[in-house]
Amino acid sequence: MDAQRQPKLLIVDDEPTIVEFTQKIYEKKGFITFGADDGIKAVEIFQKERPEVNLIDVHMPFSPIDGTETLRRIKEIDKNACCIMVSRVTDKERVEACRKNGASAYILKPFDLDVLDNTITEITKIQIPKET
Amino acid sequence: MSQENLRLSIRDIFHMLDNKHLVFVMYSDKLIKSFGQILSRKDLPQDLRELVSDYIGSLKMLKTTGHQSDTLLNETKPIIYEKLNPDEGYFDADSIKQKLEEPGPHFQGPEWKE
Repeated sequence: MDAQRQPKLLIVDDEPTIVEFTQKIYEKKGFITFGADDGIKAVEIFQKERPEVNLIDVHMPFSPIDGTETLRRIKEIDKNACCIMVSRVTDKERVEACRKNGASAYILKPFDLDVLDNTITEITKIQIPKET
Repeated sequence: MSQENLRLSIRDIFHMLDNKHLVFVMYSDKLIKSFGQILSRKDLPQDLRELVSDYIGSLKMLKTTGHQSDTLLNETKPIIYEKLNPDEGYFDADSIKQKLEEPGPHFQGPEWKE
């Protein structure tokens, strides 16, 4: 991936292990990554960095605002922001709320990394190298 | 809401379990791919090839187990949600966090070794 055109990825999840892991993976794949373990921090990072892709966990009990509200606030800043929501099969109401708030897509936990790569590429057209 | 008063519901606890399953699946998936790359090297000695194949087999088992645990959890959820209010704060968040940070009994010392 061209160093000058490195896309930015924001990962929002209240499980730090998931944030750290996803950051490491996508840094190797050429992204500049940002991690947030709560929605408030995520909105602050978005305001400053404007990442091309925002991966947001829907349910975050340890966060002052959940994923749906995080999405809403990001969309308020930039209605064209690409937000991929991560959720559960059982979170149907929340998923519907995210769709109404302008989420670009949602993927279900637990997912394989290929699923995430394919979703990002499908929405943003960013070509992601396979395993590095 | 202050972090001190944060109460977690059954839905929250299940969400944390969901995340643990995701960590299982993501990490094993990543390692399977990394070992797969090593295995694709033509100059890899036969003994290492067998060892790496064995690692991949074990990791695939871990990944499958992560998915299976998740399936079982999803089967359980609706039954529990029917009996108990899934959004009532039954658990103290600080206490749960503290327990998760404690090492398990198998880390405590040589007396646990076989």
